[in-house]
Amino acid sequence: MVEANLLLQSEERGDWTVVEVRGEVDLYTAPRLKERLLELIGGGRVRLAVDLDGVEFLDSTGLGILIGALKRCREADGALALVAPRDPVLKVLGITGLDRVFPIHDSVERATGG
Amino acid sequence: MWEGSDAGPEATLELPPDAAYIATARIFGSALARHYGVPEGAIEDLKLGLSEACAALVRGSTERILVGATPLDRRLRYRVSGGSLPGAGTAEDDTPSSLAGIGLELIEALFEDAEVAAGEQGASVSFSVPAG
Repeated sequence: MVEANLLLQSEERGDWTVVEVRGEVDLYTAPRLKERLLELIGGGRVRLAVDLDGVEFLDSTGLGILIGALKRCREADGALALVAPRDPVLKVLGITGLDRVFPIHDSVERATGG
Repeated sequence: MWEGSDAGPEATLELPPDAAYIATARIFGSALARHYGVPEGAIEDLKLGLSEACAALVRGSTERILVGATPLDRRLRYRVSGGSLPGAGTAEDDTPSSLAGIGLELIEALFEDAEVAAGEQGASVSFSVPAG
């Protein structure tokens, strides 16, 4: 019914994989994001730059998915960074203190060092 | 639109207990907020509040969810009600336990007048935003 509410695209850039997320991340759409991130991590892509520039809405379900992925990446000696979150998403990150947990960059280039 | 401190008519949306409809609650809530002149910053907060409240009730219930909004005293009070709230510390899959239940904490952080209630009649989450 609402498949179009979340669009995901991923692209490899050297050691990093950029995951572009567009739309809204909530209890309904978050499992798709989780599935994609786990698929990448399971496939050995453990340096992830999650581009949130196109994310109009993200709630605690989305935060939980990102935290879980961050943990898995770090356990595999990788990394997960957030890119260009919009103000509403930044606010949620700030309220929860997660803005001090995730590396946050304003561009994919800064996140991936390339 | 406002006549002194009269309460306006309540608008209510009834939804199935299905996560697919949480986005509908956000659309309903934000459209009503714009109608009553709620500032955009507060609208972003209320979308988050509605989403977290609906998610908490959807997780804990098989009963339909009611999303209501009542204008009163230049504020718009939202109330999300349904069957029950999940138990404290309930975590989704491998969500770290420290994040379990954070949705309701977010609501309480965003809205000074947030109220979370659970009883035999069911559970509800309410909060208000300033209106124009």
